[in-house]
Amino acid sequence: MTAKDTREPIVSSSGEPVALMQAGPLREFWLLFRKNLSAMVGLTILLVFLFVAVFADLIAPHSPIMQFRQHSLQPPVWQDGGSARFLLGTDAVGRDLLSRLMHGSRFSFYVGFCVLTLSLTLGVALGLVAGYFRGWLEEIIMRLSDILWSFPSLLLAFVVVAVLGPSLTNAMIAIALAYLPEFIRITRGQVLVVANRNYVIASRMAGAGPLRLMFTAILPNCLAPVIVHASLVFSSAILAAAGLSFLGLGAQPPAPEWGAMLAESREFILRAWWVVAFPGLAILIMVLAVNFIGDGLRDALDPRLSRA
Amino acid sequence: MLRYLAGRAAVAFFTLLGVSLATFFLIRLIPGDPILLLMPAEREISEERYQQLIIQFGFDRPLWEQYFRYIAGLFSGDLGISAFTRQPVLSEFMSYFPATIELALTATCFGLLLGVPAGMIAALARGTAIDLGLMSAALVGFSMPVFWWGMILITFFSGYLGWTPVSGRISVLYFPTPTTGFMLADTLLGGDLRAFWSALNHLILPTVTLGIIPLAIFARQTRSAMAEVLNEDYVRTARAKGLSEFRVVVVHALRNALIPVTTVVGLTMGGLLAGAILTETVFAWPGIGTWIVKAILSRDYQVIQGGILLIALVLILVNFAVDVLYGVLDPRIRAGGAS
Repeated sequence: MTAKDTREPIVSSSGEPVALMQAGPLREFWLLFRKNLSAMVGLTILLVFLFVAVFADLIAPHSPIMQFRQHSLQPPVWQDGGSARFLLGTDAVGRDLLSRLMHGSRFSFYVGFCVLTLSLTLGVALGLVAGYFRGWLEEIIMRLSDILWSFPSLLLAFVVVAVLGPSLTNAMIAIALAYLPEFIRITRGQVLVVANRNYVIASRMAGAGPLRLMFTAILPNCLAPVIVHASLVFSSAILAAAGLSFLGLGAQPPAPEWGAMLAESREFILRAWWVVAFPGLAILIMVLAVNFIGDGLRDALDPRLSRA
Repeated sequence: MLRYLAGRAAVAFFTLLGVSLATFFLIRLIPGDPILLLMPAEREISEERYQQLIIQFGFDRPLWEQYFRYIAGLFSGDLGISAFTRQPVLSEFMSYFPATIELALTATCFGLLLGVPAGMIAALARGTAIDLGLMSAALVGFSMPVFWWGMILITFFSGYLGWTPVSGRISVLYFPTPTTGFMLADTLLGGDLRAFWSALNHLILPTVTLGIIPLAIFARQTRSAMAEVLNEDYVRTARAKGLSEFRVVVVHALRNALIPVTTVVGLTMGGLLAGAILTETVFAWPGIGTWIVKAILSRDYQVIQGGILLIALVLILVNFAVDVLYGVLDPRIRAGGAS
């Protein structure tokens, strides 16, 4: 087939000619984002990880907690003593490393999404209220946020874990609390700017109520820096949760969480490099991919923030 | 300036109040008998002893009175006693604290010494392969799980090459007198160069481990600050005056670019502590990180309570000092008020 004539009217699924519709902000964003090579590489890697996480049960060669005792600490396939049965080798009790890594990606997405959802929704809501209503409400929200902000996030995590006991859920609550103030600050700052724009004033004149103003006129125009920041929170949350699990304060063994796997591998550090190298590499690659996406988001959504 | 300082001091005060409330309620929120939590060694005690402890800890008093007793205790340096070592929490903290400070200082220096030049070079070579390479490396460093990075360094430098020790602060052969608590300073004061060398050797890998994220942040920040400053009028003027490129970059541009970098040095302090706790665990470094994690895992609640309060106090003071420093460095900040 020959090259498509781009002048031909493109028709949307509902049958209307697309030319009549506005080039949506999403499309505009995608066109900018697509040009960013590192961001696209990051997105591809993240999608692969997501695929692995979703279908871990189907594609993992073994169960992540099945112990092949007679094959313990077997090296990866390309090294002497390795076998194709355990592509990345086995750990100290003979569990297949590749299968554990595949299942481990679920924890990272789980942590990232939960922390993000919790701190983003709460933080944006509070920031929106503070920036829209001003006055004493803003004063209270911002002072509390200041205090939470200066409260060292890791100590916060320690307090939560010390009270509620070590578990992944408790670690996530702690991490989400720690990221709350940043969302409040960013959203409020944006609301203060956007609330005085003409279209908001016009909407107010037309009789829109506070909820309508906040959610349809103001909020959508505040989101760019919030989204950029969200990517940073997503990757930081993964790192923080892995760190807490490494300390024994997050996910507990035998869960194949990457940080917990590293904690278990500590005593074999000089004997079996693969049990140390792969889980950390998995964390690094996933966090790096998200950070690449974050840089791309920043460049595409917020030209003022982009690198000079 | 005074207004700005007062605002910062108020935030510091309320944060401390919040931390003290959090640590106070910590013990009281945990389900179970508080006496058994605080004194796990006293398992099967007589009713008499139990009542005695209730009165000793003041659990028979109203909550607000307990809180004021707790605060009064803090001011007299009474932060409780470790359930396992039977040492006062404050003196335990004092014995572990210098090791963490030493590590945090060397890591920050490491980050600055490599990060600032790297960011400068990237800014000067903007858009070239050097810039792209340096900034990609910085993003990798920024994404690094520090505990894993430490383990990889051990595997390579201690295991494969055999260059550096695996853990600890100094070889068991040396016992420097703890004058400052900083191993490097103490061994130098003791005049034993081999001991100093041993201490230095033990410090290298933890420093590189903990310093990797600050290094990456400093490099990124220096680059963007430099790139901005290089476009300023005064830099163009300096060039037009015929100053040497070195003078233009280092004296005129870098000095101004370093203001935002200082801000970031302050902001990394909290993260540095988090990293220090992970780094200490990897290298069995006897600092407050290993101390507090051990306390949490063994449920030594008096240590948790006192330790968290002390660490928070240090961090709040550091943040306050950094805030004051910005005010001095950048007049725009103190004009802008506390918000």
